[in-house]
Amino acid sequence: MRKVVALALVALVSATAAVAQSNQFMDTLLASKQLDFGQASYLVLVASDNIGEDADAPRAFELLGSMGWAPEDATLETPVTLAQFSFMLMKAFGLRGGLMYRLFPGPRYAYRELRSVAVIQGRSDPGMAVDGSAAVRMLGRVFDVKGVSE
Amino acid sequence: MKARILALALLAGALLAAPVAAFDFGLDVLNVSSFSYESEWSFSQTDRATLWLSLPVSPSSSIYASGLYEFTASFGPGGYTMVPWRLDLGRTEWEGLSTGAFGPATSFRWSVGRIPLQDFSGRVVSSLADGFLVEGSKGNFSARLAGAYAGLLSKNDARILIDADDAVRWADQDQYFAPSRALAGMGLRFVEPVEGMDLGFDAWAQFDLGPDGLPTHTQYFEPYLDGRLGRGFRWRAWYILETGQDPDFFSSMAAGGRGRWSWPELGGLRLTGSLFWASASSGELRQFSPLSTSLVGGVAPMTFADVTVLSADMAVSPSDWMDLGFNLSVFGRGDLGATDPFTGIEAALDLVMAPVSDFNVNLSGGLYAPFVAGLPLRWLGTLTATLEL
Repeated sequence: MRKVVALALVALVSATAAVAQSNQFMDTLLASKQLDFGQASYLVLVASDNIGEDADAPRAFELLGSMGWAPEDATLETPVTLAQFSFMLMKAFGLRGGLMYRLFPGPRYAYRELRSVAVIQGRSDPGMAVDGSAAVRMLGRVFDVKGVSE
Repeated sequence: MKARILALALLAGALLAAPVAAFDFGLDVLNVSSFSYESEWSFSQTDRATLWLSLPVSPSSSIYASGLYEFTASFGPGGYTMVPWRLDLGRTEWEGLSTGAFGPATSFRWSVGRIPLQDFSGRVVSSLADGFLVEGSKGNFSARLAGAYAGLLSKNDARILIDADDAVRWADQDQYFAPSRALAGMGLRFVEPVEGMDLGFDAWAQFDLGPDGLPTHTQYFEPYLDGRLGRGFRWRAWYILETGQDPDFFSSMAAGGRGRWSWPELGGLRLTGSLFWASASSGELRQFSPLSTSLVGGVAPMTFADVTVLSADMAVSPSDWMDLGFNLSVFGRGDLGATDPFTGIEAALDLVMAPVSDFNVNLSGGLYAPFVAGLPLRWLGTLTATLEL
């Protein structure tokens, strides 16, 4: 059910920016030019059923840290890089990854894996910031890769 | 050498200017092992490690640099040859892309360095070269311009065999670099002037700068069509007129076409039929001599010159990490009016396995049966493996 809600959000965002959003989080997220760990962890963990929709960003970030999916020095407001966001997606959705990712799971090979399966498209580098709409588009493509019916 | 120093200087400048976290780098390892039998056996081995670096320079431009180490060896009943190491620059370019800078639906792309160059068919040029490429598009029209120098490439990478001087250089084991030649190219493409079909025109020129022998300059004019019909059928057709001066004027031709049907729902079934032709020295025409020599067939030891190839391919994807293909090709001379115009037939199998995104194995093998009496069958089996670290 949560995936359906997340997908609906993705579809809503993709369809038109003019559609009014009552969800404050999504409004803030989409306006964000640089996602922070709080926003990223909430978006990814809710969409992947790792946390309830009624949780908030601090709770999501706390869970992310306890799972070891965030750098030790990261805070709620630390901007997330594309490689770090890729690692969150890989872990949260249980994507298998390539040989090197299995040997050395981390942001570097997570970024490579998501590039190879076209979740990351266009000009990119592992250190670049992730804006809200790009994060939602990536999330939608992860659902495509993973298979919505799972 | 100057180009290498320039490339290194560009790279060093970018390293200092770019944010450290934005780097991406890796090592690609390639192994190619081939066993062939044609009256006697031979085995060849190539191992290549390519170290690459990618880094953004600005929001709209980035630098990609790569260098390679290569080991090659070949063994046969008569002994072996080995080149224990080769170091060279791979693709190394500073490239940029801006969209909308010249109005709505416009884009502008540029690249400078050791860049890949290719014409539409890939039969005139398909190699790296040191130079520049600019490409602009507006709406459904795009144009590009390229200029490059080939003389700093390895002769094995450039594959230039246009005149007798090139053949001498090719055979000389002490010569590493390709012939000294300047390349210029331009291309125009109209996307769907008619529904389901693109129309384009490529033109390339080569200027012989070598000090040896008489210079041979050549030009290539290549109109083409690239079409789609329905969801599963794509086709393309192209024609190449080559003109040259050595210093006498000469001309040659080549042409080709391909149709491909795809049924994704039937295990990814693809059926491809293709026909290629490159002129022989006959009548008013000379043998087709492209900027970079390309092979036809997977087993037959033939290049795209003085040849006609009729080919049928069938490929399926039994799983999302495996492709299996079968090819049957009939070869003929470039002059099909000649006595005994058909020269041989080839059957080949190709299995590609990519169980993970950064490692793949390709097993291919086949048989070439020449129609010429007395020539033996040629068997070839190749194992190619790639690992991206």
